[in-house]
Amino acid sequence: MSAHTIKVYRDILERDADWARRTRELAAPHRVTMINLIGSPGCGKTRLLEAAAVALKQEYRFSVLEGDVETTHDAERLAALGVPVAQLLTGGGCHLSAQMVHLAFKELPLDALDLVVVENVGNLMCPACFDIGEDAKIALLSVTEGEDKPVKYPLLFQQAKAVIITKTDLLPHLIFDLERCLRYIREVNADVPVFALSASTGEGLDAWLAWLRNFRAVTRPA
Amino acid sequence: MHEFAIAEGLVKIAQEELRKLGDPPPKPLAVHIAAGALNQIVKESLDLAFETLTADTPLAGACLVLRLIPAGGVCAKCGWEGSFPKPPFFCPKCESARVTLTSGRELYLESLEIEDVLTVDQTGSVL
Ligand SMILES: Nc1nc2c(ncn2[C@@H]2O[C@H](COP(=O)(O)OP(=O)(O)OP(=O)(O)O)[C@@H](O)[C@H]2O)c(=O)[nH]1
Ligand SMILES: [Mg+2]
Ligand SMILES: [Zn+2]
Repeated sequence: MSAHTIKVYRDILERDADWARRTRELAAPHRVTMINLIGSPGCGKTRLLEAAAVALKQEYRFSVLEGDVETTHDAERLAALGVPVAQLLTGGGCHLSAQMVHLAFKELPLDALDLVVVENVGNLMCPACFDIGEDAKIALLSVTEGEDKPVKYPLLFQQAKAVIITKTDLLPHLIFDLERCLRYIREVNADVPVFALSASTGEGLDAWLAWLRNFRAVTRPA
Repeated sequence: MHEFAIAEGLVKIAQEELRKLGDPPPKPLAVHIAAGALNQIVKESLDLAFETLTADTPLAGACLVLRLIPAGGVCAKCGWEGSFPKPPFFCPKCESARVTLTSGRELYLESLEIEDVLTVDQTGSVL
């Protein structure tokens, strides 16, 4: 049995890349900044958004695209704070697709927004693989997860424009070596800004908010 | 399980490529893809998704062959160029962290292996 080979060389995620490009083309003229929060289930993504919502309310007009496998609990928590939020349910899918995000994004009142925050499905691996048209992926890691996640899931931490270590108020109760965790982050992304914070106590929150303000100013200059 | 979404993209473009080759499209023996190691693809999961998604297509039964491309980089300090089996992504020569990753994120369909169609003449012998 003989066979011949047809060379192809075609991007497997070309369709996703196309949706992501369309989202960026829509965001730019409206001067909207979009960030994509990625971290394990329960690492504190929604809690951080709640804290940020309260702190930034006077400054930015923002909206949240809330990705979940099931349930609208997270969306309800944010809506309770007066944050306009659209729920994206993946029905089992482990990440938000660029297409899902685009379809929700284009329905937002973009002229009346500065910032769109996507809370991706809780997962350290899958969402890191996909470009959804964001300006920055932000990696979250809670202190209850162990120091070594950055080297176990290098793609996320390598892609991230900022890394947030969450729930630092729990440090006194845990065996978690913050210095070692920082070293692991540096091993995959030497220059990435890292913020250790607690959304519960507010400690460290301001430094991250300052980064966010600066990121917004740099990516969408007035 | 990003493997499922990757398999979906793959099946879509592989079918498009097969349609370019004929009507009805040929049934490939193998589908070759290249994947950067940073994508951390679990081959068994990808195979399972590929099998499920190709059941009623010309791709059914095709063998999925994955060529893994290691994470690789270039050192801005000493010019070293090479690959990393795992983190840290530091230069192994000068230990600098000023390394730009140049590979490891690839994800593309490389080639399709198609069985040669044998043309048979009236007498039954192969031309
Ligand atoms: N002690 C402490 N608990 C926190 C902190 N942030 C979040 N939590 C708790 O951690 C749990 C999960 O927080 P969420 O904000 O819902 O986590 P999430 O990442 O949005 O979770 P999923 O969307 O389900 O993946 C909740 O019980 C929070 O109250 C923190 O800074 N300190
Ligand atoms: Mg949440
Ligand atoms: Zn070097």
